[in-house]
Amino acid sequence: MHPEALSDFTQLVQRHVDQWYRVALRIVLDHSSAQDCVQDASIKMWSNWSSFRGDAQRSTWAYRFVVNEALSAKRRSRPLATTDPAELAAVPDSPYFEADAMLNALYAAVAQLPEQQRLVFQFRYFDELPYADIAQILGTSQGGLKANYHHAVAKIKKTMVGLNLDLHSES
Amino acid sequence: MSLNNAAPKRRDGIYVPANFASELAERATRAGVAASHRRVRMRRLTWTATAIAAVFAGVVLNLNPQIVPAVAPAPELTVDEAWSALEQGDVTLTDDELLELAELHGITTL
Repeated sequence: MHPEALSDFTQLVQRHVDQWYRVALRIVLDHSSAQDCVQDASIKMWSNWSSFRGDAQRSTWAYRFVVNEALSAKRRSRPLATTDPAELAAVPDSPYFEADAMLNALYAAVAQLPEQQRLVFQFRYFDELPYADIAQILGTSQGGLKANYHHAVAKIKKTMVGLNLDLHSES
Repeated sequence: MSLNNAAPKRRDGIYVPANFASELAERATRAGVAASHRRVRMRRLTWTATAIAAVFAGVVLNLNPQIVPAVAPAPELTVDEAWSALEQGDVTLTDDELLELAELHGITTL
């Protein structure tokens, strides 16, 4: 592989690794699994580095690997009846996670959502990513994403009624 | 991508310290590159093993050609046997083929 490519890859990892960890942690809810996901995603990114077609930003392209890796890890590890307290509470189990009662309640509400709605909500509300980027990360249309986000916000509001959480709603 | 990397703590309650991020980045980069080297090495090993196996098989067959199953030789017929078969009606020939066969073996009377 070209040394320039290696330098670009290293820079990409350094610039985005904290965000990748954050995304993976919110999906797998476990500190060490999230790190494994980032590592495994990096392996796949580098092995597919030359197949990048440039139809999206490199960073968006990289996100797909992290999301896919985290979703696969979650599916693989999901027990029939979980006893993991973090998973039961649906909040990340990490030394770098800190939440008040409101945020814990939000995580619990988000956990009730179908996978696609959950991902869209997290990218939009937590990361404030534009729909165009989310569409490329998840490989779906922006229209579908907006509908999913709208449904997600409505469901979360319903779940959290009375907790007075300020969610920005958009169509 | 518009990610606000400056904020130490996000709406999701996750705070990633700089030292953890740089350590994770280093591990991730190393893992990616190491896996790629492993793949190249595996590919090289596979090709080498295949080439060695092919050369070995070639040498063995060359030294001991009996290993190759012999092709059964075509049955040889004497002129008499062929003629008997023709006379008994086991073989059907056209007039031209019959004349050609007779001419080939110096047969003047049919």
